[in-house]
Amino acid sequence: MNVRDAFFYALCALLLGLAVLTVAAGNLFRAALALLGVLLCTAVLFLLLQAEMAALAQVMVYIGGIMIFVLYAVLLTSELGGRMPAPSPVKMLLGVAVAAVALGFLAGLAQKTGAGAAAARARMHAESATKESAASSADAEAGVNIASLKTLGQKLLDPKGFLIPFELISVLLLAAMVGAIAVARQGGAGVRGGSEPGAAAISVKDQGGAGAAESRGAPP
Amino acid sequence: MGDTRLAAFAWEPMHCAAYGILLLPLLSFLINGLWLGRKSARASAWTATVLMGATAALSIIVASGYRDHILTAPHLFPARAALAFEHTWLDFSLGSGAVLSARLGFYLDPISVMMVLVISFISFLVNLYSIGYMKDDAGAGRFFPLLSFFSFTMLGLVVSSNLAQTFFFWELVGAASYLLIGFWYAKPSAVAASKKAFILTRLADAFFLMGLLAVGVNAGSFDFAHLNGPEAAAALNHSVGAGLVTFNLLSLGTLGIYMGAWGKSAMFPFHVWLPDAMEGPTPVSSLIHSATMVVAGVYLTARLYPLFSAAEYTLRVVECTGAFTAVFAAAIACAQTDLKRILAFSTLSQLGLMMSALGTGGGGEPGAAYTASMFHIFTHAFFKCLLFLSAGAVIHAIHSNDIREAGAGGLRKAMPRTYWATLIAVAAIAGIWPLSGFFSKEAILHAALANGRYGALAAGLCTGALTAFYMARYFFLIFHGSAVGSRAPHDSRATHAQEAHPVREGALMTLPILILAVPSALIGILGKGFFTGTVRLWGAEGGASAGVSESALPMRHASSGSWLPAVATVLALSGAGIAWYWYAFRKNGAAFPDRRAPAWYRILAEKFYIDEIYLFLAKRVASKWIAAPAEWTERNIVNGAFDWMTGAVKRLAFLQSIAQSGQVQAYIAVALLGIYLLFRFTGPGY
Amino acid sequence: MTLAEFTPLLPDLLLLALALAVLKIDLWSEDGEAGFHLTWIGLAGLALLLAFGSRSDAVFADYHITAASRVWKLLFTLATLATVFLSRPYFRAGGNARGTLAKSGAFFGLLLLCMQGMFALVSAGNLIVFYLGLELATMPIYALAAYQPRDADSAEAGSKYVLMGGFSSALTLFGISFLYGATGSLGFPALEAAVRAAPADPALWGGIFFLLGGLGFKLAMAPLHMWAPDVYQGAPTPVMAFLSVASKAAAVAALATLFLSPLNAVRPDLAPCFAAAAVLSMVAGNLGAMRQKDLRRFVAYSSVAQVGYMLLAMLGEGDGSRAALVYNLVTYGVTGFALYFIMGVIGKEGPETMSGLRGLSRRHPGLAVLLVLCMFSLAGVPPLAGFLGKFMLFSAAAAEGHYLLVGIAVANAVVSFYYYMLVVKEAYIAPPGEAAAIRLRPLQIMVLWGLGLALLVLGVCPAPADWLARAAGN
Repeated sequence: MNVRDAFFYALCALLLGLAVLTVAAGNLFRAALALLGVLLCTAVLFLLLQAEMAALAQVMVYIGGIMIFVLYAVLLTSELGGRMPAPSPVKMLLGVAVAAVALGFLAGLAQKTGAGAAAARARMHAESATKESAASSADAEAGVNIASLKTLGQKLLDPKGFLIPFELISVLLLAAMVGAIAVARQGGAGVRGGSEPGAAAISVKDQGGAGAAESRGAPP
Repeated sequence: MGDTRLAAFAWEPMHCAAYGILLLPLLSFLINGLWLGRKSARASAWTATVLMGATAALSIIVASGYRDHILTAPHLFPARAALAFEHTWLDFSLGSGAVLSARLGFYLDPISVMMVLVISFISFLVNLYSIGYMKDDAGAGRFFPLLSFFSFTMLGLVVSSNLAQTFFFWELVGAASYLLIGFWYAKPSAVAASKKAFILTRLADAFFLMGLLAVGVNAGSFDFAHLNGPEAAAALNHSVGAGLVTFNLLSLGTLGIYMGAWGKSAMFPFHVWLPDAMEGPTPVSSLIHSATMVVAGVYLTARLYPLFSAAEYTLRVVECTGAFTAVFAAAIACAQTDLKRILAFSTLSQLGLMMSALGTGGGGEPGAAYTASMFHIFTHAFFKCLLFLSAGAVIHAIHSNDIREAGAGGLRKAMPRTYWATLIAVAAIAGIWPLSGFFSKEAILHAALANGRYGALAAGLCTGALTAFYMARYFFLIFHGSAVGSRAPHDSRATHAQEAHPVREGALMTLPILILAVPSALIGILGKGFFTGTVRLWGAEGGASAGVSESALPMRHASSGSWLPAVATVLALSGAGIAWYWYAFRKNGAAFPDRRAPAWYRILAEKFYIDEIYLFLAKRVASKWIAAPAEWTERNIVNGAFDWMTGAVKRLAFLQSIAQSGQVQAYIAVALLGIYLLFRFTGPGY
Repeated sequence: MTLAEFTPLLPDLLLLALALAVLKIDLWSEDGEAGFHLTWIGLAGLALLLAFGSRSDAVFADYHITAASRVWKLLFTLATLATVFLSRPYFRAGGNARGTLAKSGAFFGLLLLCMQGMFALVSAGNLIVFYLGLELATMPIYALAAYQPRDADSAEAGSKYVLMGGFSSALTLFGISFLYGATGSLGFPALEAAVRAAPADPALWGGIFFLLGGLGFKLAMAPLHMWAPDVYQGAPTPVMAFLSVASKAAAVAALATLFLSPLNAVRPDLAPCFAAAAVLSMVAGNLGAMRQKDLRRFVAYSSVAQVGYMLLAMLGEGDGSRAALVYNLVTYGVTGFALYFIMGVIGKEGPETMSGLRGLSRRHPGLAVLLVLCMFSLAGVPPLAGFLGKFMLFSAAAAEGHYLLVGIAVANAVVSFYYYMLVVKEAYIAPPGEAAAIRLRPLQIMVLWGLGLALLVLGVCPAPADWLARAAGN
């Protein structure tokens, strides 16, 4: 085991520990901080995989943007020292079951893929041995370079590359913005639509609470 | 598939008439339904009747054209079948490039022509009758368009040239009957009855759809001309696996189709909807029971008979369900007190007879079975319609369905025409020579004998005796009930009803009854030749089988079963005689529940010691050990099973709702675990 | 690249322009009328363009304009157009008892943006465009589901849909990353070749598993359907209509886009999985619908069951399946919208529940008849549109020999019949007090007549839908 491997495993252990803390922390603020740590560790993982661009995006978008919002939201809505109620045993059990199944599934998959990937690597080696090795190594070099900012930018604006997805993302962001604003202004400004209070009361009574939605369906 | 299509036949008047037969009732439905029915109920009634009369006239044109141009040219039409027209309606691809085509056609062969005649004629008479019957009903404007629609769907069904068209109209018939049975939708029992009829027949139709797809997809065509050929049966006759089981495709397909017929023709245990369907107006009942709806099942089985007769197992099922229903329903009919219910059970029993007749074809002589069954459909349509229309007249007169109240009414004098018409119909259904029922019943019994199906033969004879008994009981209780004679003048309730509603026979209602009495009486003798000579099976498919069916014609087989008519007649007469003795001569039996009877009646009953025995026989033995158990089974086991089934589905629905907690975490957990399990057990390797 | 080469792309570009214009015009318009008219005129034009415009196929990098994609787009456009008409009274004061919706401009804009996502989805030539399209087709609905102002249920619907949608997006993305890992390509043609070369690759199957999970959510396929009743019930009725027709069509299109072309090679292996999901969906949907009193919830369950029927088509062979799917979606859309318009009418004075339908036969006989037609069509009774849709789906499955499955589906259709009849029964039960007669607006009368006629015409003469289905199949 070289230093790189050791670092990788240490990082993974830290990441998993923080992830567990995110779910298990009784305090919302702590959970948010732990999540921040998870995201940071993921960024480092990207760096280890030589995906600098992904690491950069991870830090900028998630840590710099989203997590700050999450922290603000937590600070604004909950008491700093308050503890969340423990989930019911049934829920815990269900959660553990889901996690176990997911873990089992992914582990099995990793094992099988690992075997498959090793075979594929061996095959590729055999192929590259027969062909001229210089060209393929040049390809490999070019492949590594994809992650550089310049190539990325060119690819994103190339009509034969990712121009359409890129533009789609801008439409997506527009939609998200319009939707968020429309809904956010709905609550306070329900004035324009202004439903009669009586009608609202009827509808609320008829609809009832959320949790018991199904029992409402039962015949009286 | 081109070669299996029949040559379209181009004799212009017939061609036009064929279109007219389908379009006129539809036109009547549209005009009356969209516009005229709301303006004037009376105008819509007459429009519907006139258009239906025109349809009947057109059907005569088609029939005569068929006779003159197709039957006389066996070299051109070896199958004695032709297409008046056919349009492609829908093509859909089946994978591997094959295209299955559903067409809309007008198929002419002996039985479809016969059915068109019967349906249009009877629909016309029922329309005429309804003008009087529905005169005072607020919904009359809604009634006539629906009636036209009902006739339209049934006509479309019988002239179908392929299974897809049949299914389409089959479902339409169901929908139309739903609307008509639930016509008085303000009445909860009517709504419940219409729902029951619709859902039960749809349950059966589900199997029909499956069978239809299995047959159509594998035979490569829905066309009857193709399906009834030998190559379709050969193409289907192989085993396929579906899930855990393997089965023969021919059996599966025909059985599925038969399940549809099973439900529509109300064979046991699907029969529960039919008695309840009496909730509709009486003209509707008469239409359902005589010419439309219930005979569709028998007709469908007959339509695909060559295919069915290749499937031994299916025919056995047809025979057993038919024979059982025939006896079972006849036994129940003996203990009923509701006028229309007695007739409903009698329809069930007669349908059972037709089905079992078709089923006996498994014994090697399908031709005889087929002919007999079609003959009985034909005669039954007339006398059953007559029975219903006269029952309707009685109900209309006394405003009650109860046979005991009718019996108190002295109706024989008040309604002489109805009286005689009912007598003819009762004698016809009981199989008394020379009325129509005699001949068709003989044909059925002969077919059973010729095929060596002694179980079906016994069931037929037994049904004949029971039929004679309960129909005679029906007749005597209504028209020779106690109030007629001087012996029971004290039934105050009935007398009161009598005074409140003086009995009258309206001309419009009596006319169809009188008209129908003629074919009910004579059609047996007149139709015999047509059925033995023309309605044959496999006229074209091959010389050998045609030869078989020729030789199997029941009327030419008199030597082997000459004792049958005598036995059947004796049985019928003795059944009727017993009924006469109990209900007309002695005037008691099941007519009066003795606990409520006045004191003098009990004294009288004690005085006539012999009556005690009869009463004992009638109530304790016949009623308790035969009719009552049959009714009990009907009420508790059959209806109960359907109730239980719906209950079980509802309980399952409740179980499912428990999982629906409203919590997103639970949803995600269920979803993930669910999809994982799904993948684990069905995906390859995971 | 000349301008003429862009003509096939015109509908997509016009849609974007329309969305932006609607959002923009809303800033100037006081009452939102301009936005409404612009939207429906634009959509109608777009539908005409898609139906009769350029027929040439084109490829722009990873954006494929094909005949099949045009048919899907036409379907989405028509569904959105119907939604726009349906939403009209909901924005009018007193138009609906539940409360009046506000901000019609943003509402229509979001609908159009959502449609843009659906367009991208069916034109996708690689997994990234596919994913972005899916996301864009979902994200505006998060906001739309929560559009009822000051309504706890609507807010609940919105947040639930966000959570479930986010979850499903994560699954989809995860699945896509597996697919990329297994095949080394994102483009569909390369993907197809790779899948054909190595159909048993475990990483590929891992990807398919997660993709199915993600798409199953969007589709509301059991066992991933549980969000549907809550979201449908809470969302405003027009949004529910959009979810159950347009959004469902998009999810079906996504499924067809992936599994009928690039992943076609593994579909035979997936058949048991689709079959099991179909059965589960039918059973869950039909059992669930049986107990519902709220019409929106009822629609949710019944649409889950419809998904079950539609999954049958995934067992059939490519072209026939796609045709059957399109056909069924057309018929389902027509039937569904007829029902939703009826809900909109009764929602004016009372809650949109089963008991709200009570007395409909007296208040407006024509409407009651239309309701009966709808229910019969949903239950698959000829001669209504729903029958042929089901018939084609069943025959697609039967042609491949899945008789057991067809049997189960048919049995389910019978069960469904029971609860559709319950709705009919409600309409013909007399109300406790005499309810006032219903007056319809000219627009409503027009739309209801159109849908009612379509219900009948599509059932008797399937030519229009057949033409669509055929175009989609090629």
